[in-house]
Amino acid sequence: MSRRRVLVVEDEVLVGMLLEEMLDELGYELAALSTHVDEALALAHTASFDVAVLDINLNGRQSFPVADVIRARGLPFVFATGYGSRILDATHKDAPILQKPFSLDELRAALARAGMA
Amino acid sequence: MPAERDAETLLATILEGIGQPFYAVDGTWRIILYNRDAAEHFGRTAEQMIGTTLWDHFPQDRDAERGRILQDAMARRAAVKGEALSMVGRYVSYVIFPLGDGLGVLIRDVTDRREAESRRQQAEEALRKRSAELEAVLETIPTAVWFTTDRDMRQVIGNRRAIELLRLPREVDLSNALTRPSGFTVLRDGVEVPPHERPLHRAAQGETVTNELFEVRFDNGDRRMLLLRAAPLRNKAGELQGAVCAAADVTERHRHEDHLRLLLNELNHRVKNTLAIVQSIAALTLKDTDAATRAAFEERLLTLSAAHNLLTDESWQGADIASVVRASLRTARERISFGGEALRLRPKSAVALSMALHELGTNALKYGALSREGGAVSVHWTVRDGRFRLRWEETGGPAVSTPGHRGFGSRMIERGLATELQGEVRIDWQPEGVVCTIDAPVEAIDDREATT
Repeated sequence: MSRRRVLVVEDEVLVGMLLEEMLDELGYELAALSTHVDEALALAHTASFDVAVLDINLNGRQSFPVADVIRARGLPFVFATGYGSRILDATHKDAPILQKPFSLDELRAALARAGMA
Repeated sequence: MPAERDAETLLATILEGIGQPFYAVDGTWRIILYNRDAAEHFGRTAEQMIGTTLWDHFPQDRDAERGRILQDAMARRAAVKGEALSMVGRYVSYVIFPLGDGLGVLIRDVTDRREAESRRQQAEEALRKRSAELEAVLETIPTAVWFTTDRDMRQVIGNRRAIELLRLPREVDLSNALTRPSGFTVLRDGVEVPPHERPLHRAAQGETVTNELFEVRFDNGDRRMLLLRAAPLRNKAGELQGAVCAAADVTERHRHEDHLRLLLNELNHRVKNTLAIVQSIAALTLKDTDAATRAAFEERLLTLSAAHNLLTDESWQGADIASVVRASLRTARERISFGGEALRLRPKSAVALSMALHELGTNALKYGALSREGGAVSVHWTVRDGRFRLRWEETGGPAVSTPGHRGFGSRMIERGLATELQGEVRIDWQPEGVVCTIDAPVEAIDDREATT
């Protein structure tokens, strides 16, 4: 069975690198890592992936449009953020959220929750 | 009876029947008629008076004002009316008219009426003064005030601020403006509040409204936040006479609070991001080293982060101790029982306690009660006599012996926590299980006592 592919959108390079390590440890494969909303939007449309981990605040811009594209494709995603769940707008308030910083177990649980949604 | 018809009887009857002091003098001031009311008024009987002159009794009055009025009437042979101070020091209203060659004098004592009038004038003056003061106050204060004088708010008056606050024209009918659409809507928690559920109306029905927050939304989209208070007005018998309502405009304060909240959120976000970066740097730096060390570091970092989350939820105003304990003991929680009296910890104490409990939990999981099936931990605390006492007690674990050297975890508990709480923290490596006791002054850790 092939490894599930993850799209990561994270503007903090070091955090992205740790996330890559963690995903590898959990048996996932990195589909793409993007640090920009525009690039992430394009990837959300075209890249081949099974689930996405999205930082909410990307250099001052919010990643909600990226989430909308992914949702429209019928794919699951997880928000990873240093803000509380109150940052989520009305259309995304039920989305799974991972509080930064997070442990390997918390990432595993969030991805499992997203996969089931 | 015909006998009563004779002139003398008629005169006597009239004289006594008029119910007011009356007397008559002849052209030489000799008193010829004098009724009982006159006797009462002058304090002299008819026997004393009839046949004598007025000036026999009141010689000093002959040249006083009242004497001159009488003499003038006598000379002019004309009727006069007026009010004057009488010879016995009472205010009287008088009618003097020519009678034969003398005068008839009918008087009425109006002293009581004049005193009542003067009292009423004084009361009116005092009321006018108070009203003027109140009006000056109402026009000066930055608070909007509305009054209604009936239960259905048919009549509503308000001060200038009340009219300005609602952006109404100067000569508006406030009753109409408050009960019908007038360019604004009133909301509470985002839900529109109809006129009969607003404070003035509720107070007019007898309810006292203390400090409720309302939003006034104008048709052009502007908003003001108002803190409203209202109270019923009652008369002496306790019957409702209307209501008064006061509003303070707290819009700026709210904006300020929103701004602070936003700043705090932003700051917290940055702290969390920084912790995530520190976590990444450590994990990537220590990638090829001992996994246990890496895990210990990461768990401490995540515990710190969890404590921050708790405090952020409370805007860094302190955290409930039970929440702190719960957040610190994230693994094997079903085997840890905890509870105690309510206490709000100030932020630094919450973080220190959180870190210490995490170390105890980790140790219990690795070597202590939680490392073995059936082992358990009890965490209970009391807040009494100014002392906060917490006891961590492990049971059912493997036999414990005092470790040869104190690791970072024990030092963080015994030194870090003790210093932060300004109290004593002891770890007893008892053979049947680790016991850790904390004893600290409540004033050093209670958020309500916070002064630093």
